[in-house]
Amino acid sequence: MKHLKQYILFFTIVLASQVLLFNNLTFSTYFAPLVYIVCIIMMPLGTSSLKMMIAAILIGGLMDLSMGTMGLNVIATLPVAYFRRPILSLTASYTDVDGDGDTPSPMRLTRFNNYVIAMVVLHNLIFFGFEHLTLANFGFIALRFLCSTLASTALVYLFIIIFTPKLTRR
Amino acid sequence: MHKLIYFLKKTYVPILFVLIEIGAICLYADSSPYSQARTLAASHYIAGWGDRLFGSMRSYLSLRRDNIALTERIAELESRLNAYKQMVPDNVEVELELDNDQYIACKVVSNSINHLQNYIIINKGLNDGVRIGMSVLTAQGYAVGSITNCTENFSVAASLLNTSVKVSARLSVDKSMGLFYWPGGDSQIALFTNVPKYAQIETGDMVEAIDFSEYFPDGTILGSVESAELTDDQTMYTCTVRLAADMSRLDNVILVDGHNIEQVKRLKREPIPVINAEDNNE
Repeated sequence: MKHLKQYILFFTIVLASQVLLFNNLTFSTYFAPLVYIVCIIMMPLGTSSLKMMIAAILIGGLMDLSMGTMGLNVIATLPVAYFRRPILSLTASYTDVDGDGDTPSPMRLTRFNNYVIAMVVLHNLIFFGFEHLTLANFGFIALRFLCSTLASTALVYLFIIIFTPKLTRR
Repeated sequence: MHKLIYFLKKTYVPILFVLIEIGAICLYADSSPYSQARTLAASHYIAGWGDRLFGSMRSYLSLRRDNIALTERIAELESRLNAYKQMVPDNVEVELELDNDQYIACKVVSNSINHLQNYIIINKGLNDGVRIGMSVLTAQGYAVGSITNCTENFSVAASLLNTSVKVSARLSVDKSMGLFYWPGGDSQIALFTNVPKYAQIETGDMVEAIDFSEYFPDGTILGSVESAELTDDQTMYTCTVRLAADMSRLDNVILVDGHNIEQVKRLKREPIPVINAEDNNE
């Protein structure tokens, strides 16, 4: 894999910040950012479905261990990883720019924002849907989903802005 | 074998995805009492939704058959009414008291036929006047089952295809009594046993419920005799009976509360008084 060292560093920083920082934020129940999905979003474009699934199981499993939610993160991350290719083809398309390798980036993909938002929304929808498993308190669940999705999207963008130059450097 | 290997090579990724996702859901469902309860409730909700969907599809597809059956039933009732009218002199006016609460028309939501203890779920419950012990009949009046449990909006009936349902019955022509039950296996065939060996049994004779059967009103048709043979000790007949109701295609049913089940059950619970022979002689 190209930029293997950069990817390892990127994954380590993202997962560490999720475990050490974002999982411990307790100032509001409506705010539960799940930024680790950026690891799936930024996986090289040519990665096979099987490798995506293995990455999703490892990342989701690690998050489950750190959050104490047996299987919930795997349930949410696995479909996002498996369906990344159809989501990509539905929301974005490749640009003619060559030389950025396989890393998803605004330079490599047109409508990159749609792709990121679709991935984050799908992940949060499955996560919060399975977390509550009921439509009672629908208002609370919807608001929690909305706030957390907005926060997750903003933080995912922050990570992408910081790390894209490193992951796409020739 | 090669085709199977080729198929698995082609489809192992989606299969793996489904298996791992199911495994994760099971793990999560078992992780806490809350998630266990919520998963169970969600799966029941989805199953109920599926049942309703397939049920409405079935009802739509069977509309033509139901219409024919209803027309035949109307014709039969009209001819009976005419026969009654002819029996009553013209100058006598008869007022019939109809008790609407005795008959409740409802739809079958779910029906199983492949277990030994089969049950039917019906879309009406306590709020609609359904009570435990009511008989479940087809639109043609054939026996189907008996209500065993009710919630506010739904009821469960033990089907005739339930090995614990045993009905006291008689032959419609000969009037010989016996015990009617489903032994398991074929969903169209039941047994009518303990029929005295002196009974005149013909193929096609109807088997009907007796008033003290606990499950059905007197005269409710259970099925027709297909064959009869004497037991090994040559004292009783055991008849094979084809059920009158098509249990695999139940859709609209009628609940009837016209027989005295509770009184019969109470009588059965009470000890049988011992009759002293000397008292009789006096």
